[in-house]
Amino acid sequence: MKKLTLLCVIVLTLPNLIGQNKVPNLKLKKLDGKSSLLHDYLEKGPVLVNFWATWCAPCKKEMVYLDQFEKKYSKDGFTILSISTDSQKSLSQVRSYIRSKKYSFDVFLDPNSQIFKKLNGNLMPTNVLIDKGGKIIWRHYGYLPGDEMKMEKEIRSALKKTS
Amino acid sequence: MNFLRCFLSNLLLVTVGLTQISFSGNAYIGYGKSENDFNFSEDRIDLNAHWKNWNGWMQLEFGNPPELGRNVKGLRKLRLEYSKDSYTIKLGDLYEFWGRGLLLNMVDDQSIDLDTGLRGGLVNWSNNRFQFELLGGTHEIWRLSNQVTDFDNRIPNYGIENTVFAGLAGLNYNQWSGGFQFLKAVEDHPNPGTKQSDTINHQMYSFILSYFGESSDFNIELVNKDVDGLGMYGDGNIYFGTWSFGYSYKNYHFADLSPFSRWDFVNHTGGAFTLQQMPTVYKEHNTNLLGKITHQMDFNDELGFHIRAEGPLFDETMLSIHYYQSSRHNEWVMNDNWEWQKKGGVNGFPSTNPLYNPFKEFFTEINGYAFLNRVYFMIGFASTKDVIDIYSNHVYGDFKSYNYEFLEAQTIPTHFTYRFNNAFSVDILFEYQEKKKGVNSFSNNPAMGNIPFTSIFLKDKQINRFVSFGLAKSPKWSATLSMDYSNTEEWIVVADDRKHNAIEKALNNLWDTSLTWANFEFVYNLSEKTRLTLSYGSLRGGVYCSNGVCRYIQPFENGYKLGIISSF
Repeated sequence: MKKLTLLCVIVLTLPNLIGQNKVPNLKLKKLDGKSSLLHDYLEKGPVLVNFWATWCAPCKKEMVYLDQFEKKYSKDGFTILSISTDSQKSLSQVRSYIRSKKYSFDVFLDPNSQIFKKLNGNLMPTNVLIDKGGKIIWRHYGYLPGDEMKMEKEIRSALKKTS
Repeated sequence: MNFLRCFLSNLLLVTVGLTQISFSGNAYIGYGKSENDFNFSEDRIDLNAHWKNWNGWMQLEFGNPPELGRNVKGLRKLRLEYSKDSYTIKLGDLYEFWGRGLLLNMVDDQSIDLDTGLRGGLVNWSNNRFQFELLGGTHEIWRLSNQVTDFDNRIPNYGIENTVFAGLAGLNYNQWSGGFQFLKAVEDHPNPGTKQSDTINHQMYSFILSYFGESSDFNIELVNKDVDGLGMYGDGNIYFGTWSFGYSYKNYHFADLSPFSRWDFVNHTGGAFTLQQMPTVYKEHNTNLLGKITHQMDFNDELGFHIRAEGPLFDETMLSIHYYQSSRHNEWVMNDNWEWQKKGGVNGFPSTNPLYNPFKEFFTEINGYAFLNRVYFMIGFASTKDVIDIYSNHVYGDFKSYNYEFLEAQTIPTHFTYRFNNAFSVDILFEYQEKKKGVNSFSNNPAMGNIPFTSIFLKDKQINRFVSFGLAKSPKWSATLSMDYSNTEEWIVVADDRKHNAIEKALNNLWDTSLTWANFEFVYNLSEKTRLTLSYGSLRGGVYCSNGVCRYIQPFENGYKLGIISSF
């Protein structure tokens, strides 16, 4: 137990003291099978990476607001990358869900949750806000009605810093 | 002095080096204690490191014991990756997903303790036109079986080790893409009879073709395994504006196993390989009561389809309709020596004959927002019929008799959320289910008599209700009281003496809570990066399914759980 506590303290504090919290240039797979690089989106401005799945009810509740933010702030260089973690069971239903909702943001696939784990996702939904320099500036787990207000505040703050 | 100089210079070097590396990760601490000895203590740390083109990942686990699975104390996973331009090299624990997973799909699903990862190496070269990948390594999978000693609901007792080598070549051309994959594996299969291991060779080839157009898309994948194992999967969608009409089709036939040996992976070798985690072709339900009656996939022998329609009814309200059907490929009949023998067969579409283990479900759901996004609602309906197991099927002369276990259920899941002005919200879930489960018998021999239906419950029909009331304040906390109520239970469950908690005892003044499982959960976000979950009460056990794999999770009676998730 002492060893574990010590390990937790080391792991939780060491990176904050000496490390950077920058994201790697992740290769993201689009719905059509083609790939894009995360850093290509960051060149335009801040990026919000949203992890969701068709079976996740809170994710669906939240997405309506993500779409609003994409429409509102895309002219300022802001991008939403919506990454579906649907596995082989429900992969075929991702596109039809997005189309039926008329969402405009880009959707990617991560069926074995490897991108999710690289960005330290834990629960669904997970949101990670990355500034133009590639640094993670905010993250949020789960969705409660009203969380979108905090999310919009963080997006505005990221855009303000960029400009 | 020399030592001090050496120490300081090394410290400087390490510090400068580490500042160039980006670290991140998350920690999970879980603890549970219950009166029926479902106790666990599980801590996990995931650490990601990134420097220029290098990425590293490691996972540490300390279980004493874990909630599910074998006890790990120390390093569980480790991987190093290098990516530059079109190249990627990975060494360590790999989790890859090819096509739709008919040949290779590595998953690490700790909710059901399923880990099909590979420890080895991978080389990939890809651009937006071509893709080539080779991987190799060892893969060890642990599963639960009552065919070997030391059976425990929570700890797998049978392990298989495979040495795997696989590759793929893919091509993208405009809206089309295609590919070829192969896999060779040598399986080390412990034989409980001889106490030695059998060596089994697996060889698979697969072909994929897909099209991604503006108004339609489709995907088809074919796999051939060894001499006569075949698998086919296809799906597609056609879009009319915002409405979509889709289908999925599966035809998996990797082994012919009788009803007696269908789930015995210990004494039966061959069949579907453990890295084959294929599409299930039915909806994975996320509601409490529907999740417990999910059809259990047999990757060796399953034939079926799923058709669906989805689209908006009006602004912010969506309707989806699904229908799935599946069956085995053959009927099995007992001969005069009570040995199972294969008979007849279907190959294109699933059979509805009960002796082919048919499964069908109709599911519809309407969900969306109303009253200026203040109310979120979801109302669904599911009608499920599933022949779970064939017990006997005997033909003698002009007479025929058979019996099988079946399940029939109608379920109505609902979910409502109301949001107030001041970041408070109320969440109500209500699910209702009428379930029949038992053994259906048939005999045209008057001497045998005929008992058409025997319920597995103490009553003919089980009525389940799941209710949950939640209050939340964004973004800080949420509190939820949930109650899972049933009017009857399977005799084996009723035989267990339940340990009622304080909530159930209080509710007993209102109704008989002998079959009510009540639980209270409080979630508090200590910061944006740290989340604390506390729960007290009981959770009903049952079969939980994920990735087509189901397992029984024992009830959690009168106890508490603590969970902390923190990212850094």
